[in-house]
Order: sequence, then C-alpha cells, then structure tokens
Amino acid sequence: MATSTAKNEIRVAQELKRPYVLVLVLLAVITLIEVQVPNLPAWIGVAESIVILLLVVSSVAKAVMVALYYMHLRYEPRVLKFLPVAPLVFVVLLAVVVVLH
Amino acid sequence: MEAHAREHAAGGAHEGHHGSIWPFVIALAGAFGFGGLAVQFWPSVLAGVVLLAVGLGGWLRQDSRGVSFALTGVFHEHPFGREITPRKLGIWIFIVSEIFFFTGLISAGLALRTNANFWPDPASPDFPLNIPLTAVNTFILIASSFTMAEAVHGAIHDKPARMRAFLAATLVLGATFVAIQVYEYARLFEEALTPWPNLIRPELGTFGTAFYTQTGFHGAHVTGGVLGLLFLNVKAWRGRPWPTRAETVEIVGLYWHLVDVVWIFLFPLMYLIGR
Repeated sequence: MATSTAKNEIRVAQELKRPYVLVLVLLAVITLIEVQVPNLPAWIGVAESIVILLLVVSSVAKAVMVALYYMHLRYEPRVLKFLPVAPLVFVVLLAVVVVLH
Repeated sequence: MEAHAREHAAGGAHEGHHGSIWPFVIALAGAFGFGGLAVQFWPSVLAGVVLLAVGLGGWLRQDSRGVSFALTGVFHEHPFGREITPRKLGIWIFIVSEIFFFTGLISAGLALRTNANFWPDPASPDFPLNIPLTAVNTFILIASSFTMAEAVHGAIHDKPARMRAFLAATLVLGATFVAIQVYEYARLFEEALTPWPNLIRPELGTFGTAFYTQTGFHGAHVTGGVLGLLFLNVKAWRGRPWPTRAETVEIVGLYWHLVDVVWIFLFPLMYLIGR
C-alpha cells in the first residue's frame, strides 16, 4: 500500500507541469480589468447587465484556472475532476430561485 | 489483532496509523459553539470555545508526539485506473462541502440584495467600500495561491529549501490579507458601515449585513488557513522531514486555493456589482 502511495506521488511529480507564473499573470491582469468594469456604463454606456455578465465570466475563468493548475485538477483522475462540479448543480438551482424572486 | 485494537484506542504511533479523537472534538466544538450562537444560548457558546481549545490542543500535542495521521490506503477509481489517497479524497470531499456552504451563503446575500430597499452602487462616489485597497488585497491573495502552488511543487519534488521559502511567503501573504481586512473593517465601522442597521447611515443596514456575513466567513476561513500555514511552517522549518510531508503540504495547499477561489467570486460580488 505504501508503495502505491509512493507511486502515486511519483506520478504526480512526473505529470506536474508548472504554468504557475503564467496563471499568476493572467489572474492579476483579469483582476485589473475587473476593477475597471463597473465604470463601463459611465464611460461607454453599456448596460448594467453586461457589467454583471462580464464579471461573472471573468470570475469563473479565474476560478477554473486556479482549480485546474494550482489545485492540479487537470492532472487528477476523472472522479476527482467531477467531484467539485457536483455542487454546481446546487448553484444553478439557487441562482434560478434568486432570479425568479 | 487485540494489541492493534488497544493501540488504536490509545491513538498510539505505529506505521500507517491514523486514528484520532481530536477532529471529532473540534467538530463537537463547532456544533456547540455555532448552535449556541444561533439560539443565543451563551453557556453552549462557552462550551464550544472550551471544546475548540481542548480539541486543537489535543491534536497539536498528538502531532508533536509524532503520531502520523496519514492514511496509507488508496481509493481505486477503477481497477486499472489511477489511485487517490484517502487523505486527498477527504480534503476534496471537505472542499465540496465548503462549496455547498459558500453557495448557500452567497445565495442568501443575493436574496438580501434583490429585496433590499437600498443597495450602494460601486461606481458612485458614495460607495462605502474601499475598492483600490481591496483590489491590492485581492492581488495579495492571488499571489499567495501562486506561492502555495510553488511550495507544493517543492514538496513533491523533494526540494525542501524551496518548499520552506514558499511556505513562509504564503504565510506572510495570508497574514497580510487578514491584517488588511481587519484594518478595512475598522475603517468601515468608523464610517458607520456596521453589520446591523445604525442611526447614522440606516440605508446601509442590509448591505452591511450581507457584506460582513460573507466577507467575515471568508476572513474566518483565511484566518484558519493562516493558522494551518503557521503550524506547517513550524513543522517544515524546525523538524526533520516526515514521511507524508509532500501530501500534507498538498492538502493544506488545496484548502488555501479553495479560500482563494471563494474570494475570486466574493470580491466582484461585494465590491464591483451594484444591483
């Protein structure tokens, strides 16, 4: 059993690539853009709903990057990849309820 | 077999052993403490605080005596598929439970937002929150996720010096995040943004409740993570390497990234989106 764990660690070590700096730069740039997004209606007259849409998309993109690369989900077995997706069904359900209200 | 059971009951150290009563005691502390808070029954809150101290103390003491909590089995996704250690599966299930928790919390915040009489607009000069300061704090938390990922990489690739340096950097960045949040809370209280309605700025009551509940729970999670990182740093800097060090660093790292992901959603929700 201990050998399996060691093998598992070796597997992780072999498969881990390190786009960490690139992810950091992307996260920082997206955050810089995000901070300016609330000013868009005043600057170019976009609708408030576009602001919300942009921020939701950018947040999801950032979260996915952290999960895939910093949390190594990209290199994990399928069962682990889908585990954190399971509660998102609940997220959709709650979002629908909030919107309907 | 009997000897094994006795040793198990005593929580003794032996190869691959993992039994400990202390996480259960800490869970009980949560039940008593938060249950007491919910119904405002203070003796129960006090019992929770005492149980938390006892549970944490017991767990640290057990760890300092060299008891390994590592599970050495593996969870088989598929007979010929890849393997996941139970500790890693455990932290992921915990992360899923945390996603459920924060989803509920954020949804409650959204429900408050849609029903509130007034909600401040981030683009307005009267917006109570300090967006530039918190943007800097967001960068700090993102940077700490990067240093944590590097620390995990150092641990897995058996580069202890690298691992230690990045663990220390993560601790400093995490503590800085908490410090800036405490500073911001203090300033916001001065400016009459409180978790409850106040007479100076009564229109901000609902916003204040939503803001402090969500960022407060997140801040408590970061604080817990900082304490975990402190413990990990002490272990990594002073002691000899322990057999499951790489996995331990990875598990603390997974929790730390979760906290970062939650902030990735909370920051735009509270600071950048009006109604």
